[in-house]
Amino acid sequence: MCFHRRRIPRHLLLEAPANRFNYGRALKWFLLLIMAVMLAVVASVAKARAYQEEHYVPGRETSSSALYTSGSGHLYLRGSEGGLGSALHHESEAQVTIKGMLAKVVLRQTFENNSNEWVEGIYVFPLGETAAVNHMVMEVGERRILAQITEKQEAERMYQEARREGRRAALTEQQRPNLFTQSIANIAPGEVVTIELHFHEAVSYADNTFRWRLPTSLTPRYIPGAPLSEESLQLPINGWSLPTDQVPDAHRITPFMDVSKALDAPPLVNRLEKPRNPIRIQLRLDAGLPLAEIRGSYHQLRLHKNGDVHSVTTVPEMVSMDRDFEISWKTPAGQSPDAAFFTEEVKGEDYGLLMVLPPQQALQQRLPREVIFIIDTSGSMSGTSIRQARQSLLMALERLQSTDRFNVIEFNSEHFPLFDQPRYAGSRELKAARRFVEKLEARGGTEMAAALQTAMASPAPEGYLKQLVFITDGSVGNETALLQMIHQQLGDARLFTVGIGSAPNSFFMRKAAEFGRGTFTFVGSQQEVGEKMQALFSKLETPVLSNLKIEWPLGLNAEVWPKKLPDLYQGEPLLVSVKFEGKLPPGSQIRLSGEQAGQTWSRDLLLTPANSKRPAAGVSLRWARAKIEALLDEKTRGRHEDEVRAQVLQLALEHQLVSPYTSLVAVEEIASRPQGEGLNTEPVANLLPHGQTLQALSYPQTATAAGLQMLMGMLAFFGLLLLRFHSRLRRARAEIRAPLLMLCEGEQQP
Amino acid sequence: MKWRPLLSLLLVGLMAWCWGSAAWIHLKAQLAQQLIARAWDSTLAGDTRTKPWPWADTWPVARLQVEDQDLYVLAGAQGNSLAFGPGHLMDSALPGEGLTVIGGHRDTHFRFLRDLTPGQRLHMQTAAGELLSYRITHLEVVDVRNQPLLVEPDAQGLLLVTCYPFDSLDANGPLRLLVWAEPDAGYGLIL
Repeated sequence: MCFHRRRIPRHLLLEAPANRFNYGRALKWFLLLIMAVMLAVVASVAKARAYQEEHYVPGRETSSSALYTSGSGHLYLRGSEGGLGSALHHESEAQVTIKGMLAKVVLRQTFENNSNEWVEGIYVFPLGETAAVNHMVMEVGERRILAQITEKQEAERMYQEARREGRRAALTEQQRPNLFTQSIANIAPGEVVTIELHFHEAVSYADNTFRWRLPTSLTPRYIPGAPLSEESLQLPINGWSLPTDQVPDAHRITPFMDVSKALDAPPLVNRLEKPRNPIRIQLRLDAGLPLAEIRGSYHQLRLHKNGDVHSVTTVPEMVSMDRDFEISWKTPAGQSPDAAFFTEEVKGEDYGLLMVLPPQQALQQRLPREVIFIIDTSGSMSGTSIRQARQSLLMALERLQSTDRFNVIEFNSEHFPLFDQPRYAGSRELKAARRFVEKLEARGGTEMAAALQTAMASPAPEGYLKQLVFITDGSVGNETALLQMIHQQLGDARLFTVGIGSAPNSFFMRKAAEFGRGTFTFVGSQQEVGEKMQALFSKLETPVLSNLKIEWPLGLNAEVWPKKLPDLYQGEPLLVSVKFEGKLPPGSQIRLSGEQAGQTWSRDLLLTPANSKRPAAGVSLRWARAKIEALLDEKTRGRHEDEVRAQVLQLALEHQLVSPYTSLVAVEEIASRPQGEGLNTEPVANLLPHGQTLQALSYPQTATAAGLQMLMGMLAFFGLLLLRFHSRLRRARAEIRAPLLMLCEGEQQP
Repeated sequence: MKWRPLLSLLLVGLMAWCWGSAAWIHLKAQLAQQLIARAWDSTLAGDTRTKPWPWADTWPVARLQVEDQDLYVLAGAQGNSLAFGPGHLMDSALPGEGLTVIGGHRDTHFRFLRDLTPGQRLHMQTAAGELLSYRITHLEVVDVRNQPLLVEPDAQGLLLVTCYPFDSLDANGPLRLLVWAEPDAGYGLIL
């Protein structure tokens, strides 16, 4: 056995030194290579740093961020010709009194001119879509100037005249039922002007919960159509959009937005600063019922009980106007009211507000359905909205059964259906739908019409109930045209709207559901998705209450609005306003009847006012407002505008209501601004609704591992070379060793 | 001893895998553009969301031309699109409708960004066939960790984004090169 290594005598090796591979040197080479690679990496990083420093612009004042103004941290999306409107500081205060089902709100908007020049302030603000605005006072120092209700054009003329002559003036106009403009002319340098607005609204009641909502900001609306030609433009333009052929008043409904809150950039926005566009909300809730729960949907509330009245404020007291305020209250289980009647006497005539919750059985019978989900993926849905929308839609898909048919249509600037035709909800189809929904991203415009048309186009097969579920924030400026389309093309289908986001266009969503004989569900935050969608599902799956009728006592002349009672879904009450000719005789009885799933039912009700001692203020205004709304709906359905206008005008003037044809205007008698001095127009910016990340885009990940892999390959290659050298060395050694082995063998032979 | 051939095999394998996948990245990037060209033609002919191959989860949304570069821009700026072409960031506007943000890999399609200079013209064709021109205003390098990409909703223009530095080995580096371009009335021809 000669395999144990033997020391080879040195002199025998002298023959082969040339072949000897130097291990140490190879290692050095290898190390050198690694060093070189590392050096190259370091150098490229250093180069990048140098480039960055050279091209770095402090604050990134690039073309993309004309957003930033210097200093104060006041950020505006776009300036007007008069510069960025930071001269007017604005804050609001709402004093709300809720009695039973009626809310009275005194909204005080304070504008402070902190520039050295005379200023005209223009503020576009949202209110609830059923708000009846009937009173406005302009307060300058000690003086209070009461506004008059005036025909819209005449009001505008009075305001412009005062504005020119240097007299202080204030004008409140309605642009949409839920969107108003406040203009204040001739605010002196350093002066504070307060506008006090009064409005009345009915509280909403559904699914055993009362809710009242105060919108504070608006989601920028999408304006479809082509801009109108230059000549037809009426200056000044105080919105970010020019009028278009489809939305001729676009510039009036597109106020500038203040995005400072939307930027999550700590060095730029001081978070400790008091909220911008702050509002203080003080609410007195006199529900007239024992309460089990009071909740703020999007704000933390502080409650104080005083007899039957709860005083409510937000915590902190001043909050940013970047999301709607909503308060909800509930009675203890089993004690929720199923009917209420409120009356008010005005000029010898009785007005009433009637709420009835009809008896509804949760029927187990399921009709096969064809559900078309229409989901808005426009830019205004970006941020938290699209996540809520996706989540809502995924929940809805879960509820489908294999006998149901469905389709999903996504729309932004264009629309894309999931399937060409609605399909049965088999597991494969649902899987495809889930994948489709999970990948939805928000961008682009809001071209609703085509998507709705596609959804409405094909009738459902025989025996199927066609339901459209429309998930959107409703941020469009062409509401009326869309409502007309829904009215004309919906056929037998029913349209359910789901409002998403911190500040959706509730006027459009509610009206669309009304014209579509469905319901409006509002989802304001991620936490609400589950609860609100469950409520919607039970509405979708339970037969509707239809053919509702009220029989009034014989000989009693009652003018009821809405005239045609709507169909009611699970948990929804009937809410009607009525005007009686003369007095309502005590002990009057009415009969309410209806139909559910082919069965008729009726119920007798004694009209006993819930507020027999004190009349409920606002009942008459609600009646007038309901009538105006019904008249405007008739216009949407095709009635001639002149007829509608005449009726609305008369009604609005009689009840002192702001409407599309009437405005509130207050003018001072004496001029304040010297004729020599100019007047700047300052649009007051609204806060971008909470959760909107319209501005913040994420960077794409734009490198591959190709470079690294090339290098790794290179290293492997060098390793291989090294190994080759190594084996060659071994071979060389073996060659030398061979004769020795022979020698060795010879020696060991016995 | 057995470890030598084993190590050799391992190294050969590693080399093949590394170079293979690097080559595959480049090959995919080149080949896909050829396939997308056909999808683009049918998009221009009126189809929407034409997928370049049946199992693709992206589709061409624009065509971008700079100097001798001619690229099809795909929907979405995530990995699955960027492997085959520059990707349009879905949250940003489509070309001609606002500020369009397009990302591309620095190793493949957007390597040419390092040769761009302010003043150069970029040409874009939209899915509707419209031809748009842009002029580069400036280039900047940003750190994604402290410089968010903030855009006015009504901003107009084009923003090309790629990773920086170009020769870095780190595939997840924080630096980005931004090429800002504004709409330019000058009319560019697309082939």
